[in-house]
Amino acid sequence: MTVFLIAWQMAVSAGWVNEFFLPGPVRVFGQMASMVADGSLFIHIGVSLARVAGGFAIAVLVALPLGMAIGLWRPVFHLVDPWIELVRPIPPIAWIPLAILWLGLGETSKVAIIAYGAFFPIALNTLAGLRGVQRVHIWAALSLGASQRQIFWNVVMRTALPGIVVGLRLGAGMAFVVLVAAELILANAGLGFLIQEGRNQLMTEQIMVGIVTIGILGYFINKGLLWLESRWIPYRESVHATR
Amino acid sequence: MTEKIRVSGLDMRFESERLERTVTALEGIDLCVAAGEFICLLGPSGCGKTTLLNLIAGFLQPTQGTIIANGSAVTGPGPERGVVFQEYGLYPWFTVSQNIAFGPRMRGASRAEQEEIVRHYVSLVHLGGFEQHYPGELSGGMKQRVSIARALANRPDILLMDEPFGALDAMTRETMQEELLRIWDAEKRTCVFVTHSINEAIYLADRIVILSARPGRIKDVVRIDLPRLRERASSEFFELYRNVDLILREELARLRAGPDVVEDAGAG
Repeated sequence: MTVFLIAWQMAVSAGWVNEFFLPGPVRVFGQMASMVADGSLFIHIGVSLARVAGGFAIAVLVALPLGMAIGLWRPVFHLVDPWIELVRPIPPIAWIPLAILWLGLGETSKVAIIAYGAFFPIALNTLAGLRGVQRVHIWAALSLGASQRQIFWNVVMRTALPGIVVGLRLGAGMAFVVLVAAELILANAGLGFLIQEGRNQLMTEQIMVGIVTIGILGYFINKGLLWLESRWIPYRESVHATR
Repeated sequence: MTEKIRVSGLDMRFESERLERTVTALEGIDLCVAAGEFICLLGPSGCGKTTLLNLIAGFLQPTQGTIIANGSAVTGPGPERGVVFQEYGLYPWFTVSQNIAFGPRMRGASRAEQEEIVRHYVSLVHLGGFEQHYPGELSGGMKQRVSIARALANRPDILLMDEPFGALDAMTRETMQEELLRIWDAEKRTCVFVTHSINEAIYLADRIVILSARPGRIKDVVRIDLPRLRERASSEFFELYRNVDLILREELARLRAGPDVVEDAGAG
């Protein structure tokens, strides 16, 4: 990482790269520092995070139960699956014009699109997780005297958990991607907006600040999710070690 | 001697709609197992021994006939019939302790009771020190011990075992057989053990129920009167091996003669 930063700065200082197109790390971090100092960076971060969190939360609340329902009950699958397969190929961004029309230019439209983007990875991975339930595990539970409810929580959900966690991680990733896209197009605050404003005002280093901040944020969020995963699925290591 | 399991007039047919075929897995099975008895179901591949075990366990419903276990008819799986599976069936998300405590926990045992039970069975199967390990961190033999401990921890009246040592190497297998007898001796339960190994059956069983294949019928029942622990290399052992082997060879010869011959023979 340090080597990269040094090389980057050298390229700029030596004049190989036009500073307008790619400002050196010194200027980018300088800009960042001043935005941290006056608090503006945190406002943008806060706004973006709030949208991502809101959209993601909605997606989880809808996609998780729906994915489970589809996996557990055939009739639900037959009812819902065609719709999912029809809508899934439509990228979130394509819905933006309609979202603006139906939900206005405020937060609702952005959060809705983010939720849409996170919905599919969560639902489909939850479904995949459920599909992995093994008959021998259910049989074992039955012969040990477990009730249907106990089997659901101790066998079915536990089998599905790794899949669900993958879905959550992918969903969070999608939520972020959609957030930036949505903010680029219709926002007055937030990291995506920062990038767009930087572009409009020809302040490349502001664009870079937006990009770098998004990268850092995404990195920490992913790290957080991986930590959660290691706590919920501590046996994962051992599973990979054998089969 | 009380009767623990009674199988009467059992038929098991599997229908395949796709292939428009009916496979008769078992036909006319009549079997009695006394309390505390250790019997082996022995036979070539496809003779229905696992199917019979699964029927006794209650995972499958017979096409015809009845199974009475512990005085009541078998309608489904239940904790009085513990099962040890060939593939172990251990829960990878639970530790050894949690796997063993599973049955008691589901049935409402208190924390203290669970801990006591786990302690007892972990030491019984010689897995002290591995309580916090996950199944993925254990060898095959160890996994099977956990599997046995988990089944026993629920205090079933009947223990059903489906080729539990099939996936183990020969040495581990012999060790596990001795271990199993030691464990069984400590807590005498009625045991139905499925195997395709003559040696294993003679070493372990009070009686060997030999099944024929296609359709699965009881071909013979051989009583083993040798006291345990049996000498694998004794002349009595070899004698028994010869007898059982002869019976099985007859079966294999019949099968090799061709499926058509078998179906027409009918009155086997």
